[in-house]
Amino acid sequence: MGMMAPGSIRRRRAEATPALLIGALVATLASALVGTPAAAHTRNDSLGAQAAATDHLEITCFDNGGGAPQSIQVEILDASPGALPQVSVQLQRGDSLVSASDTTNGDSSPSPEIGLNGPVGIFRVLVTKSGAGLKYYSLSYHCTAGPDGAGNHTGTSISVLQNQ
Amino acid sequence: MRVLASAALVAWVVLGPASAGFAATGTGTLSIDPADADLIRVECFDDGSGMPASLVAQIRDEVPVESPFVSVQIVKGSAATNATDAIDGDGLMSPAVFVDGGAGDYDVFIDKSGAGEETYQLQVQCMTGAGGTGAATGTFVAAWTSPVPLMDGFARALMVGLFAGVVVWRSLVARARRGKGWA
Repeated sequence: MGMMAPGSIRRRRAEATPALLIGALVATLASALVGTPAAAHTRNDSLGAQAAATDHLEITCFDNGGGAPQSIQVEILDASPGALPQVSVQLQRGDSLVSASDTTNGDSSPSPEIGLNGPVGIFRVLVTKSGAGLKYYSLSYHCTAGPDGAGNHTGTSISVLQNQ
Repeated sequence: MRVLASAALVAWVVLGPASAGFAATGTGTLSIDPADADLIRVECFDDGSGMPASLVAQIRDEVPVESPFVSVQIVKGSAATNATDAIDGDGLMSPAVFVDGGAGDYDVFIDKSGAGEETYQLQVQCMTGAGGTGAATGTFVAAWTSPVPLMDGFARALMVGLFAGVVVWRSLVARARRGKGWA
């Protein structure tokens, strides 16, 4: 491999910078136009020290122009330092119920993503913990126009029924 | 995902009034899937003991010992609560939790915190007082209702005998009427 002068490296970086910026801009615009499922909503909140503390939320999926909703996905991040208790999320509609837990506290990795298929309407979400102690969490959620989390991100709103 | 009265619910039983005050006890199994959860519906009604004011529930994580925690949630209207059995296989129930929802249907969730098959015992009881106080009152869990038992061998033989007797008797009566010119 031949040697390259330092000036040559700086010149190549200078030439590459506009291209990278343009590429990033195009990717961002394309992402916004396509409406990828990555456009999740986030709710940051806490559960009080009481072991039974539970937050009860309702997420409504609707067509905001992104397409008729067919599914919802949620995941939970335990944003607290320290160890136990663990934070969990339960997602329910009708007779369907799924659950996920963030088993590693204080890191940046959320729980596995869980989801349910269903048309326009309300999904029930609970946020719970496995014992006593104040916990902070970050709940990510989004409705999509395809089944199993596929398709465009579409209308998603949340309301709080109980905040403990 | 688990739906109401799913096939994986096993060995549900309804017991008489228990010493702990829980009239309804059942067991179930959550599969290895970390997202697996059970959903049952509990109806609180006045069985003559008084109008229900609350539903109480507690759960026990049964052996074998696995890493996930097993939890129970009660939901009615906007109210929800949760209890977790934090020690697997020790024979002790989780703390008892309640929702003051009066008479009617309550949703009860059972879930776990990760991968691994988990067996649990769940106890529920409707109470006449708020906060799980008062007297035990009507508690019905559709998913736990045993099927109507079929007749045993003796009963079946008795029914067949009665039926055969009726047929023979009617035959004899008809023959007697023909003999008297009634036919």
